[in-house]
Amino acid sequence: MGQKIAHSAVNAVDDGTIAGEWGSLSIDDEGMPTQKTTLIEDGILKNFISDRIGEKKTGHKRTGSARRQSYKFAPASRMRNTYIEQGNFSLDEILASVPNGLYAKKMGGGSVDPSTGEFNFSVQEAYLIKDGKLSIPVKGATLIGTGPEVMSKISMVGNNLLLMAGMCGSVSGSIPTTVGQPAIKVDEILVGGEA
Amino acid sequence: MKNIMEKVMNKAQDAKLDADLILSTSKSLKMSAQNESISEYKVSSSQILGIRVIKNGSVGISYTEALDDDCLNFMLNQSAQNAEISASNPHEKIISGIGELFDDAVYPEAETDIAVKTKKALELESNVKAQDPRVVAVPHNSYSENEYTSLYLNSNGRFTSYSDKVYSITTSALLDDSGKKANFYYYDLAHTFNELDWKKVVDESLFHARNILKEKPLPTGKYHVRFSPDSLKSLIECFSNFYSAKSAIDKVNPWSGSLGEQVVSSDISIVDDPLYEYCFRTSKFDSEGVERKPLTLIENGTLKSLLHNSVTANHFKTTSTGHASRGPSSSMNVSGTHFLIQGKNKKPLPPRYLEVIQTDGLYSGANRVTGTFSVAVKGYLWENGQNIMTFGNITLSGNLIELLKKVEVVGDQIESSIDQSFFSVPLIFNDLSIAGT
Repeated sequence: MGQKIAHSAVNAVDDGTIAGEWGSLSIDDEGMPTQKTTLIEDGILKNFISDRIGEKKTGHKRTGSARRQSYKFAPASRMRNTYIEQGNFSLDEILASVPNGLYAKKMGGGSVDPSTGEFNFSVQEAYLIKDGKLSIPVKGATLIGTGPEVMSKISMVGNNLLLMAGMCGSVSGSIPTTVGQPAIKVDEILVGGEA
Repeated sequence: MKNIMEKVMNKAQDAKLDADLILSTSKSLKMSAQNESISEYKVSSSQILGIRVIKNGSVGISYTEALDDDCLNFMLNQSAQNAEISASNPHEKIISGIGELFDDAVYPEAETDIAVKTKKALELESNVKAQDPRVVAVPHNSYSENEYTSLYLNSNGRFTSYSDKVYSITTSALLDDSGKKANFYYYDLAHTFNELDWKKVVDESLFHARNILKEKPLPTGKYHVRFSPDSLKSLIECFSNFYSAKSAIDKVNPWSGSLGEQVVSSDISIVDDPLYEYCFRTSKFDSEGVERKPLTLIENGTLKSLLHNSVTANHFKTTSTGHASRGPSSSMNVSGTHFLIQGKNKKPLPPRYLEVIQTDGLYSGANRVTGTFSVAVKGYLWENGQNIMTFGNITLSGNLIELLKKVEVVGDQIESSIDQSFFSVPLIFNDLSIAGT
């Protein structure tokens, strides 16, 4: 906590208070009013989301994030509307800065191991970037890496923030959440597919 | 419970509805240990009764978790209303089999005292921590037991009863060595408490986590690959639509129309065997009360049959293979039981191959219609019979349809997945793409 874990361009929040968003709530499942929690500010880790038991165990203050699907589950600290805040670059400016890369336009599903930070996600729609311009479409690509590693390799953040609604499944069941980000440039990531 | 089902069935028949009912009940206990104390202790029970009615050729499904008369009547009326707005399906009918079938497990074991269970759950965590100073946490760590019953009754007089009890333990070792982290979890299942192998789950989770700490990426290229039984199970199950007659009707089965044709290497055969002598027990009948029996899906590379329930069987003018799959609240589907891949050829092991022990993200990285997949994998590189390094941080991609045609080496010793639901001789595939360094 308090350490730099990402590029200084990265600001991330988990905000339960946005009116009308899919992951918003008034009061969490332990009776606490929800709030906007700054997770990363200028690349520095500022807060975790926490519930009552999480506060007892770790000392991190409750953030109105205790959520559960139904009475069949115990509340746990869960995401609400989680997103990277928008930066200053247009998508065209980001693409123009890439001599040779991959533009992952639409992501598919994937898996994450929270204990190690390892993740892998499929890419549903992607294009090669050649000399700053979109080139041919590619299929069957997957992205793998670790969260901390990728966060440190974000070098540009776009100004085109987009939020998307979804359902998040975890220890306290399936709950409505929103995730979002503007376009971001990751300087290096492993891409799998046909060699 | 049977009385309640008969009461609902009588009302359905008074309303001139063909119907079947599934009643599922369960009782479970789960406890987890974290930081030398029990962090979760959960006792739960559930019951759910579902009805499927067929009215003028259309299907309606409804269910309830409360079994008082008002709720039962509401469920029945709701199912009839649902049928009125459903599209007609002339192939979906209540099967004509009659008579009672029972498959209720009884295990001669005295109840274990809760104090013993609690002590063992705590030891799951402490034993992992005690064996390696690099263990920083045991994130997946639990003991659970689940006792469940499933009753089936239809309007033609078929009644089946299945019950069982399953104990399970899971643990994991999260190691941190100078900032490099590795996590591996392992589990065991048994029908009695005393059959659980507590030492093995601790040893296996530590063994693989220690190896993963040393993982390195491999150079991008083509490799021979052998999957562990659990990894191969994941791959085969991900593409379960290949064997499904329901998927053939839905036009998402690439082997649809290939009956009698060679679809995989002639060196292998695949059987769905619910009664395989080494398998974890499963019901002797399916979700329509049809008795299960071994079914040859592929014989020497040739597709011999798909998995059928009565609906798909009526569609294809054949008979059900006993693979109906339906819960109290869900619509009719098909699913396999225990897959057994057999065969043999006399080719020697290649001098260099990868052994995949863990796949991540398979379901998101797979196209179930075309057979292509791309998945993150971990495992071991073998050279001349020696395990020479652990690999990770790479992706493996291929096409299962082509893969099964190109099985290079087929061993002869059948291996089992941990949960004893999947069995296969060792298979080594050629020309799989690795994306690494």
